Amino acid sequence: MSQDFRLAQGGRIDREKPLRFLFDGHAYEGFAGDTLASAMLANGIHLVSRSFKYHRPRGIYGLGVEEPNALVETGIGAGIEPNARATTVELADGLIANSQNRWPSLRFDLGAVADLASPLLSAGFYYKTFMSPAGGWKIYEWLIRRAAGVGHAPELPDPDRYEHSYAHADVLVVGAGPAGLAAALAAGRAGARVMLVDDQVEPGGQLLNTPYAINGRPAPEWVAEATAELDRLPDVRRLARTLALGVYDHGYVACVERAIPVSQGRVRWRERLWRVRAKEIVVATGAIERAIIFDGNDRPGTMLASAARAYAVRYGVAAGQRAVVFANNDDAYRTALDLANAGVEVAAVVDLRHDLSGALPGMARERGLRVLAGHGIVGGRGRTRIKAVEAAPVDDPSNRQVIECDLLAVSGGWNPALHLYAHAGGKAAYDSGLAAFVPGAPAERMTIAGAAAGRFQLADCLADGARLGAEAARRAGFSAGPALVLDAPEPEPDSRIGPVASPSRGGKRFVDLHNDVTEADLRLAVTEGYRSVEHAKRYTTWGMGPDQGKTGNILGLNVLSDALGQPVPQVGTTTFRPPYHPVSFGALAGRETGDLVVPTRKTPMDSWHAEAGALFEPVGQWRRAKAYPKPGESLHAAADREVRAAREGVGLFDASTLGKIDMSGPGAETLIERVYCNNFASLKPGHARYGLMLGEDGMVKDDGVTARLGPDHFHMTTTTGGAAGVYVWIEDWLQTEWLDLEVFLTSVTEQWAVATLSGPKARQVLGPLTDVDLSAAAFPFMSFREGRVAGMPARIFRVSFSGDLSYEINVPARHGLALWQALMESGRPHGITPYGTEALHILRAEKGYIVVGHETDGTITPADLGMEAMVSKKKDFLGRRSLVRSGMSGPGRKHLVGLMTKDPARVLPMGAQILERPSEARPVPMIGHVTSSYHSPTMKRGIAMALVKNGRARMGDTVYLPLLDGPTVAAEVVKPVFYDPEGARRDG
Amino acid sequence: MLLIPCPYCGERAEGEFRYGGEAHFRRPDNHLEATDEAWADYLFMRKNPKGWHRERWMHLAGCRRWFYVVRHTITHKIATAYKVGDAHPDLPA
Amino acid sequence: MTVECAPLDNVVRPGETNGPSGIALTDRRFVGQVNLRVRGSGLTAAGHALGYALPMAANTTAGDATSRACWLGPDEWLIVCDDGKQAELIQQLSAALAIDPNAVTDVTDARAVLRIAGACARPVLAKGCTLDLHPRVFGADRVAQSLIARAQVMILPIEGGGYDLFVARSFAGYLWDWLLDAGAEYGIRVEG
Repeated sequence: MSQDFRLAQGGRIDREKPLRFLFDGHAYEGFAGDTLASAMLANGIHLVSRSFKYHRPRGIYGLGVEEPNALVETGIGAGIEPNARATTVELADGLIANSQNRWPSLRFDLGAVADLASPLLSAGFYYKTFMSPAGGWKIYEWLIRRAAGVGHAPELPDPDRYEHSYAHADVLVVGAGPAGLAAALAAGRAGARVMLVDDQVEPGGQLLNTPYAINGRPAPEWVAEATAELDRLPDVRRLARTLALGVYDHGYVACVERAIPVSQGRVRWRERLWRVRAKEIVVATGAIERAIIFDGNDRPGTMLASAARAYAVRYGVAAGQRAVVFANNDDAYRTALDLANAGVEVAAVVDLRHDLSGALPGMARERGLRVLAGHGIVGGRGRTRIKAVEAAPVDDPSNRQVIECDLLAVSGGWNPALHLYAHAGGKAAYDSGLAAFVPGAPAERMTIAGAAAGRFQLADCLADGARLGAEAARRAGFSAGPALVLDAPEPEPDSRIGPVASPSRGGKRFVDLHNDVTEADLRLAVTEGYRSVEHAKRYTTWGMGPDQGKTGNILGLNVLSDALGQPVPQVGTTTFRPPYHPVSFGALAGRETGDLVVPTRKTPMDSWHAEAGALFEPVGQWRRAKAYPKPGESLHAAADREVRAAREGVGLFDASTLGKIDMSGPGAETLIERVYCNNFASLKPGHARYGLMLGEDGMVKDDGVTARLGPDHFHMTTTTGGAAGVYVWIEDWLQTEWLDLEVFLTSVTEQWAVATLSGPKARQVLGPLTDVDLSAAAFPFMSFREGRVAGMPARIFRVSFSGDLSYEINVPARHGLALWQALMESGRPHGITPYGTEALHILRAEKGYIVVGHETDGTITPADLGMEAMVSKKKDFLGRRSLVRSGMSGPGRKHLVGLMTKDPARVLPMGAQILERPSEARPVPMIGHVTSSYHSPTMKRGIAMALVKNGRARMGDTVYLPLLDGPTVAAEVVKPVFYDPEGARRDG
Repeated sequence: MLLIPCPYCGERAEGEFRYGGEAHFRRPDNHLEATDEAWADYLFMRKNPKGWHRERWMHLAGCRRWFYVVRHTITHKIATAYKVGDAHPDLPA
Repeated sequence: MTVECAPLDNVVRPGETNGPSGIALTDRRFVGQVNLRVRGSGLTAAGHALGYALPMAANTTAGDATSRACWLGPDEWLIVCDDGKQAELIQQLSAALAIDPNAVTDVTDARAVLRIAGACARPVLAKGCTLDLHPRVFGADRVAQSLIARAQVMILPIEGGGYDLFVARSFAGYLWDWLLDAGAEYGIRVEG
């Protein structure tokens, strides 16, 4: 099929560059510069979709994002994009598009039976009909979702890249029509950093199809000049194909840029989400034409007048050969004249108004166009394409005349595009003269220029832009030069607007084409009591489709106004929320996919673990070796082997992830005393102590070993997960409450690599590598020494989290891997075995050592853990006051206990709930839960730690644990120390 | 995303900060002798006004200072930010 | 002597490129870094030890041929020098600050330093950093701590355009991968 509806001349398309495309499997041709919609119209295709609910045939209706009908699927395979507006898809060679929501074909759609049943399908039909039987909704929903709706999501992973970029602007101008270009020029000339975004391929907006001149020259020439000047300014960034989606707090604007389509291969990126921080925003988004309510107002071939005009002038496409223009305002006559000038036969202009005394209707009459004043459209003919309309006097609707046509261009007036203003918190005011909402009180950092402000004359748009652009620049700190003067004479329109609805003869009258909502649906909603605009909207789904009612909102408000007997401003308006236009998930996700979703923090020894085949587990953002299974070995077997090595020989553990804070200054001791609940004042330099940290609520917050490096110098360690929180918390106290304390914190977590040697042979492994005397007398438990290990400067802490002899060796991070290798080498004769976090947990659980976050959950006190003896009675510390609050002690609190399953082979699941009796009446009273549980290779049985109500009074009792997927298990309550309760082994 | 005026670093994106809730609630003097009621009030009770709110923020990814912000909880407008020890500015009308 | 292992030794492939150029990425391996915390009378003493006054304006730097002090907070600076010079610097500062409360801490190994240079360095960082790095705002004497994607960084502009990114050692691999990915559209060259 050749381009039968392409006009012989005109348009901004490149006739030298034909592009081929497929729609529903048929090959067509368009030109570079076409949208998919203009190319389809050039080929005479109006029918593009079946409607959402009734499966009625629908045609291309608009020009851009306001399009309610022409939702198509583009691409194939993984590259499928459903619900693309044909009006915003840039034509590319080889483009593949398909219609949606039809079966078996667009012309013959079985789903259209819904239209025959439409008397049943009024507003609220689903709510009323599918109430019973209970549970039936699951089946109904499946059926309804198949019949109703839009495109299908692609089933393969999206192969395309999506990018994100932040940008900063002194002045962000949204829209590159007359107002936006003038604003950008004025602000840019003042030296401001300007960002000009526009969703079209070409800048200019309405200027691309206006017959009027600017400063005596054709408008497109001025556009080209202005654009060239903007592009020369070093601090102006102009983005085409970029749609502003939403305005958020403090000048934050999200815009999405589409890539220039390519005919072959893949684009480098498909969309880029711009996150702009603007000091000032000039909204020059123009206005969107709206429809008129009349019987059968959804026939393919019916479209917005402004769209028909732009297709003719801008794309050189006759949307029909014989047009009728249906109007309630003077601007429609520009369409009639432009169509006539472009060579389309204009059969009639049907105008709902009686008094047509403005300049434009006069020009139309002079041009010889037939004008039917005081007439409305009351019906039409044609199913998949309009064939004729029926016009009748407004006062006598039955007096019909049939006018043959294949295009009905409808103009119901213009709505300023106030979405961004509403996002910014603006409250629009109703202008009854325009029958539209216009900006009310100013929104933060935002001004509104031209048609978006309800000022539709070209000269006003240009003047607004020039003034507001200069003012925005001035507020951002840039003084503008001489004012930009732009002269643009055009015929003065009569601003009076007619009614938004034509007389009815009982046909279907749509107010929301996308969601198939009719005038009758809205009236029914009011009858049924949905009198608030928000309720009527939700009940009928009016304005809730993907087009968000861009063409139908005012129509619906007028219907509600009539039904409720209230003026429109009193009926109210629904709230616009971002995004202005649907946005792809890909654009929102950007590159935060795969490995880049979250950082993986790696220790200095990480590469060794990886080469050794370690099984990793995430701990916060760190990845830590969980175990080092040998080929064919299970995690469980590997952990067993590693535990045995650390108990009987020697093991090596990477403890680099521990939080480390250096505390220095004369107030350091006081600070440590206040943040730990146990005594540190008596700690001598060269020694270390376990510290327990409470929140102000008296609950255990964190723990770790802190060493005193000097009189005023401490090295605190925190849990891996608590490191950042503890640092922020202590800084909070220092900065806001304890200003008198002279102490400085420096995070040194990343400065030190830490390798822990553990086991009776630890001394034999470390001895040959170090100049430090390791004898128990010279280097006792809970002390630290500085020295050299394998030639590296090191701090060695003799602490133990396994209960066996243990050295934590700290070296500057660059030496971490070398330290590890040296220890492995030195330990080889002793069978040194690297162990991971799983073995670490088993080792500490055998000793009953707590892990914050396992044995505590923010509701556990030191006494609950059996650690009350270490809490200082003498000093003040954070959380002390709370420990004497009622409920913080005494009966009823949970205590940390050990559990030994009656069946030694049984390992309880962590989190298992604990009962007093094997079976209980429901609701079952729970007395606690398992906090840690492992198979202990040392004890050769399952061991568990648990928090149990009054647990210390239950020693020797049997409790019961019903398992989710198994039996109820009996276990004995024991002390939470399973191994070496005397602590005899830590000296090796 | 809010733009928070750190009194040291200037306006920075919200993601660099940590929120600390209501500002200027007082730890009871002689807190070890405070009544249970006074202590519970200090521990748990925070204002949640509809309107202007003095709140604590920390510039975690920046200068790591705690400071105060006067923010409107409905419009998210920020009237001012001030340092620890500065006089408390009046709330906007 | 042991083998020293920088944070990115396992991922850097010198000479490799994944595009037609535009950006050069370098792992600077080790840069001497001393964290200095001091206030009051210690400020002058520290200045004497360094040979230049500490920069007091937020997010600015000062320095000479041997070291550069970067403002981190109202009582905190990161003194950057060549690797190997930090011990001497620490000794001088500690001696000068003997009577003033202070914390002078070697953090050389705590951070990796990735250098991103080339005409497209700024747009690459803009893909993950909310800071305005326009030269009008972020001149040669500036420094800033912020986030790039999900990593905390200190950003220091370098002569001839580009930045040194100071990032916690454990995050260096993530940031490196992120920069390679973000820079792909401009072409990125890894320099050894």
